[in-house]
Amino acid sequence: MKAPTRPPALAERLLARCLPDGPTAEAALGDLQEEFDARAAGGARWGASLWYAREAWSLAWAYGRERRRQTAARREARAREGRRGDPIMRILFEDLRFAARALARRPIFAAVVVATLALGIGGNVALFSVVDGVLLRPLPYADPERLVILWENDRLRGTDKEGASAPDFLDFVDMNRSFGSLAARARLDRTLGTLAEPVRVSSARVSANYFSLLGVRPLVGRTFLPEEERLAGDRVVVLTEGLWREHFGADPRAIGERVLLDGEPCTLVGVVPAEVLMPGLGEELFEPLAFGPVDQFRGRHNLRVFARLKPEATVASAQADMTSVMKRLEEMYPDENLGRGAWVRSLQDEVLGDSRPALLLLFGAVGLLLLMACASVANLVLTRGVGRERELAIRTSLGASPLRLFRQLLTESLLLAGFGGAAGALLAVWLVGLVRVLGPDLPRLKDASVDGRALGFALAASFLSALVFGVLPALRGARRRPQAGLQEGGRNSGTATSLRARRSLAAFELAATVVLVVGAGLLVRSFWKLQRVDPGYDPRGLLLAKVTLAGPGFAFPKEWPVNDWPAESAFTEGLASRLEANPAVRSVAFAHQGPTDPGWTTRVTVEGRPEPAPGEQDEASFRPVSASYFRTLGIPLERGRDFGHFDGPGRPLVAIVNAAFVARHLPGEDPVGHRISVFGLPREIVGVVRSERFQGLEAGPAPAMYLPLAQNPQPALTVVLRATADPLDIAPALREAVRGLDPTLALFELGTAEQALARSLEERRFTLLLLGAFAAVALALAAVGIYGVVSFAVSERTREMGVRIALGAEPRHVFRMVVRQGLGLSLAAIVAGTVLALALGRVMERLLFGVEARDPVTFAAVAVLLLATAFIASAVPALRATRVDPTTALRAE
Amino acid sequence: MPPCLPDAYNVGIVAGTLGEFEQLVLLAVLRAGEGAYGTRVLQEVRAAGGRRVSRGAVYVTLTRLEDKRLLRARVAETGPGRGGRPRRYLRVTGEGLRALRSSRATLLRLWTGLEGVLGEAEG
Repeated sequence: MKAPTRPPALAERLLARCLPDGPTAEAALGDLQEEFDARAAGGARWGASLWYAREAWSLAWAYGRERRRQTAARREARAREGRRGDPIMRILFEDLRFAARALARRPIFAAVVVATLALGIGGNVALFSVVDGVLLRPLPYADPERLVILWENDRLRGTDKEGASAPDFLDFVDMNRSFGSLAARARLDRTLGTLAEPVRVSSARVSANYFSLLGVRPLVGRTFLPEEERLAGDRVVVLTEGLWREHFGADPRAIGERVLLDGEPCTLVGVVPAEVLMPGLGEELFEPLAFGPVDQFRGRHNLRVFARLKPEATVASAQADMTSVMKRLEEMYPDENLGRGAWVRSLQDEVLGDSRPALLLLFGAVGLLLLMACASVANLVLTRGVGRERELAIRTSLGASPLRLFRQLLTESLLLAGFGGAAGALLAVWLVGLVRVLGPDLPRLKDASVDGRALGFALAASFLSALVFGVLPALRGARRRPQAGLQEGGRNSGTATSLRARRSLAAFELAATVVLVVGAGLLVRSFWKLQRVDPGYDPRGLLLAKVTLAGPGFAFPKEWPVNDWPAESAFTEGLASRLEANPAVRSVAFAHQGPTDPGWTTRVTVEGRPEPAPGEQDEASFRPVSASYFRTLGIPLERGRDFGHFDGPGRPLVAIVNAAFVARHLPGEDPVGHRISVFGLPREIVGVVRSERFQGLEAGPAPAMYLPLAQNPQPALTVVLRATADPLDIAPALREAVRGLDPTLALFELGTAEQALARSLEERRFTLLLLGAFAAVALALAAVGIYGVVSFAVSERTREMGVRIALGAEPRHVFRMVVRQGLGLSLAAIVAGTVLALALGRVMERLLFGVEARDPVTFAAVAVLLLATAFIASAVPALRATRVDPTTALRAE
Repeated sequence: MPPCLPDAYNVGIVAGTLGEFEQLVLLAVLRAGEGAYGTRVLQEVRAAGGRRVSRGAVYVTLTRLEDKRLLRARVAETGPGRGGRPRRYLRVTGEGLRALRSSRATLLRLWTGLEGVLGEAEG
């Protein structure tokens, strides 16, 4: 190998990299090469290369070290400057880095805090998303705040939400001065044919301007034209997006096609987006609203009226305007309109108002839970602060100002809250998904999601939590005296005040828990009572399904009164005989409305009573039923006789009334034999049955009159089956039997009576479940809080315990002493919480059933439960206190 | 591993004062006179100190003394022998001289009266 004549290239490259740029490096390289050349010329070429490499390494090392030293010096200078007022962001960043290191040193502490906060913040964000989605976000219409719904009310009968009659509606249009436009709609069920299988759809007949009033444009095709508001001529129909997608595959060519509605052909003219659906109404197709002869009756209140306020009008001014309109109508038509008024309500309130109390209650509860989470975390941070006394004392004696320490401690809290908020947001996404799946059928609930607003809320909640749980410990930490903390083994100067702060926090947690558990307890009691309400019939083993007799085979008789409809009798008798052949079916009945359907009311007069003054006429639920109805449902007959097959067309008109009817109209008399007048036709009361709660379990029994279905045929029927076993097992047989009689008929709303009753309690069940979960979490937090305070106090008094035990105190005395301390604190907190819960009780009144908001049983039970929790939480550290070994305790000092 | 000197030895801790090694290097530059460039200064330090001093330590100190304006450099072209790279000749500035004098005065004041305890300087 040839000896090198040049310096090693690698070493040269190393130098070029490590030496400062410019003349210094050039000169140094020159110096090295000069000597290398001299050494190489002396013959020791390999030695020269080795020498060069060593010198190069020495230079590179020295300059690298110098550079690091300079960087460190610069950073130090900057830090020195920072303490005199550097940009706020840099300070914050520095504090954050320090805080992150401090937390990383105590991962379990950090994890517990983050988890607690995540629970609190996550719950709040999830509920905020739901409240925001359901209550706060505007309806998807143009200028939704200017849309109102017009209800009629009847001050004589105390109703507040009745529809308008067609003549009233037309008068509103003419006489009002507040609305830019008005539209009416009436709901009905239709069977949509021409598809593979007939389906039951809910339809709305609407004024032609309904869509433009809401500000909704069709997706495809058009909406209705004013001239289509007619009874004769071609019928047209508009589908909603959902039906169009489901049954027409979202095909735009479906426009112009013919569909069969109750067997009659209609032309499909357009599709409207899903947003048009008014929450809670859920129609699937629209037809034009036309007024026929039956709509001339002012007493037939079947229309919902929607209106858009003129720019200058407000809900209040429109209310005044409509009140005067109704007053004029009352004077013009005293027979029908006496006592009737109007209620102008913003559509937003109408659609969402009913779910508001429950949602706001839950929101308040979850807010309280967040406060409790903050208190728990503050307690944890305080506990940790005690462990950090030495660290803080050292920093103070090294010159850290109280402000600096305060800022540092608060930054740690902010960092914790930030992590808690992030974890909470993730938790909220999951919780909202869960609520959407499990939640009740609230309007718009399915649209709720954790969006930007919810994340903003999470951020705000985290920030506020950090302030709530961080300020107190930070203030205490910053105020520390250095000497005290530095004394080895010395009593911590802050112990007394710290314990006081911690006791207050634990007491607050317990008081808040009282409020939450009382709320949950009241709901549990309401739910329990509701489930024990006797519906008036036996819901077990009952199957309900609806069917509407329409189409070519079922032309409804045109003459009035309709006392006979052979097509219906043939259908009911055919269906009954097919089903009764099935051994799983015990009995079959038919009714216009089933036992869970409030149905509708009509005016009734009892013959022989003085004619009531105008406006004082009374109404009762109108319920045509088949002869086997009471037997099938298990409704006992209290007097008289049941309907029989002989109560048919052409036979004397009869009626059975319920106990509530008797109490109202014929108190203290035997109603059997009395005659009542319904629709102007006299009927004889032949029996009295026990009242069934067809208006739902929460409402009391309402007066009702039952008429034989055969004498009052109705196209809309509910089939009621009593099964010998599981009622759902006979559903296929029912479908098969209906199809066998007429394949164009659609069976809908099929389910058991128990399901229907459970569904009516669904929203309540959901509220209960959530509030119960909050209360459980709160109870756990409070128990941990008490436990923490008592065990902290015990550890601070270990020496005292040791002395006591050494002086002969018996373990049970020590135990009692410690427990008494925990219970004393808890008792005060429980009293405070009870007072608070009593004060807040009014909020819950609307959600209660059968219990007072100040129900003493609930309050007592909650107090006992919480005292027991507090006892257990104090007993654990108290037991530990009794086992203090006096020698160890005294030596530890 | 190259020799490594503690910071306190290398660098004047308080601004305006000289560390011991800085003094050494400054004095070596003065001794080398007109011909004071890197290698020469290194030889002077090694000769005076009687100990193994790394090239890196001397060069870094030279750079630092330049930064402190106690030394000034003059670039002089020297033929083809150095791969075309110039020599940098160093000269102690007035400020450098003042710093040396002040250091010397301080040391002398401190030495005065301690001869009895420490004995005469060896060598």
